[in-house]
Amino acid sequence: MTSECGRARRLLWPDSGPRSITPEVIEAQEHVEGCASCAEFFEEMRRLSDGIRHSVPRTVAPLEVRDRLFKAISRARTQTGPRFRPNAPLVAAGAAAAILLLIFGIRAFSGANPPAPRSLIPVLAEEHARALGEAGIRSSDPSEISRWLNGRLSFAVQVPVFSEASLRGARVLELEKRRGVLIEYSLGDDLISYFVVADLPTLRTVSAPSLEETVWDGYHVVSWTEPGLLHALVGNVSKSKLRVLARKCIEQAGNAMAAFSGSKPVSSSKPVS
Amino acid sequence: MRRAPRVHPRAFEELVTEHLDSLYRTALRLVGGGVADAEDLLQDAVLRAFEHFGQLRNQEAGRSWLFAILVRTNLNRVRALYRRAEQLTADLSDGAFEEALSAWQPSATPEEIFERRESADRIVKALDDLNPVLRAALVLTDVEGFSQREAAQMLEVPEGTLASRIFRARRELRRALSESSRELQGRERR
Repeated sequence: MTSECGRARRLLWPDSGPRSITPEVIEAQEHVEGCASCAEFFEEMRRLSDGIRHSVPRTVAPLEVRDRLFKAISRARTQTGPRFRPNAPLVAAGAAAAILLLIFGIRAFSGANPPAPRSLIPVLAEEHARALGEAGIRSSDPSEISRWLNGRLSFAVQVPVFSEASLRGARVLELEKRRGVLIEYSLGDDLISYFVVADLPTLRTVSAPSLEETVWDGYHVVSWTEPGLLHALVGNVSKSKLRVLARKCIEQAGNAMAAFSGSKPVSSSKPVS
Repeated sequence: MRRAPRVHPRAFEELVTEHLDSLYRTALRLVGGGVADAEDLLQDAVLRAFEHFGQLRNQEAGRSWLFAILVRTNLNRVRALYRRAEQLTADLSDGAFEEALSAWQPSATPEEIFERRESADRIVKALDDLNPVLRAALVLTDVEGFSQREAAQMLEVPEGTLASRIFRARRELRRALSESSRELQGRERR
C-alpha cells in the first residue's frame, strides 16, 4: 500500500457525484486499475454500504406517534391563525347565533332529531386536516371503495357520488372509541371529507334529518344524524356547497335503502331542514 | 368570507405523511435509539417545518427539506454534545484522510457480519454507539440513501469532510461488528 493508494481512494471516493476529469483523476483511475488493494478497498466500501442499508430495519412510525404528531400540527395550525377568519360582522352574527342557541338549546335538544355529538367536531376537523395516509384506499371508483369498506365496518355505508366533486379514496378511523369512515373528495382545489361514524344507539327514528352547521379550525362542518350513525361533511368550501352535498348524501342513502327494501325512493325535492 | 389561499389545504400533512416513517427512523438513529427522544426530535422538527412551510418553493424537494430541518433541529438540540463529539472526531485534512484511506486493511469476512441472523440488532446497536457526528453522516447516506452532496448540505459541511466522516463511520462500525462477532463466536464455542 502506498501514498498513491490513499490519494486515489480520496479522489475516486464513491458516490461523490460527477467529478471533473483532471489529470490527477486520470492518474488515480490508472492506479486503481492496476492495484488489487484499491480494487478490494472500493469493493469493500460498496459491500459495507449495502450491508448497512439492508441490515438496518425499516422501522415504521407507531400509530400513537403519528396521532400525537398530527394533533401537534393541528394545534399549531390553530395557534398560527386559522385559514378562515370571519370578519367583524360575522363575529357579531356568530355571537347572536350563540345567544339564540342558548335560548333555544333546550328546545333543540328535546326535538325530534338527536343532536350531533359536538365533542366529535374538533376530532373530525383534525382528521380532515390529515392526509388519507397509507392505511386507506385511494380510488375514484365508488364500488371499489364499498367493497373495501365491506367487513371493515359494523354498519353499511353508501359511498355518495357527486357530479361536482371527485372521489379520491377512503380510510377507516377510530374516533373516541367509535369506529368510522372518512371518504375523501376533491372539489376544484379543495378537499372535502365525508364522515360516517358509529354514534350512540338511539331508539328514536328520524324522518328527515336536520343539518347542523359549524366552523372549526377554519373548516366548515355540516353534520346530521340518523339512529346509530353520525354523518358529517368537512371542508374548506362554503357551507351552502356542503349543504347541497349533504342533501345528496341523504338522498342517495335513502334511495339505496329504498332499493334494498323495495320501498319508494327518497325524492330529491323532499325538504331537508 | 375570506377565501382560503390557493395552496393545497393539506399539502403539509400530506408531505409529512409521505415521509413520516423514514423521518421517524432517522430521528431514532440520530438520537441513538431512544424512542422518547426520537419522538421529541421528530415533533420539534415537524413543527419547525410547519412554521416555514411557506418557504418551500419546490414541492419535489420536500423530502430533502424535511430531513435538513430534522438534522438541524437535532444539531440545535444537542449542540453541546455535538461540539464535544466534533472535538473528539476533528475532521480530517485531505492529507490525513488519504493516510487513513491507505491504512485501511480489508476485512477477512465482511459478508459474515451481515449474514448472521442476529446481526440486524447488532448493527443497529453499533450504529447507535457511534459518535453522533459520524452516525449522522452514515444514517443520511447509507441508511436513507441521500447523495453525499445532499447530506453535506444538510449537515452544512463540505463534501470532502462528509466523505471522511462516512469512511470513519464505516471503519468504526466494521470494527465494532467484528468485535461483537468474535465475542459471539466465543460464546457459541463455549
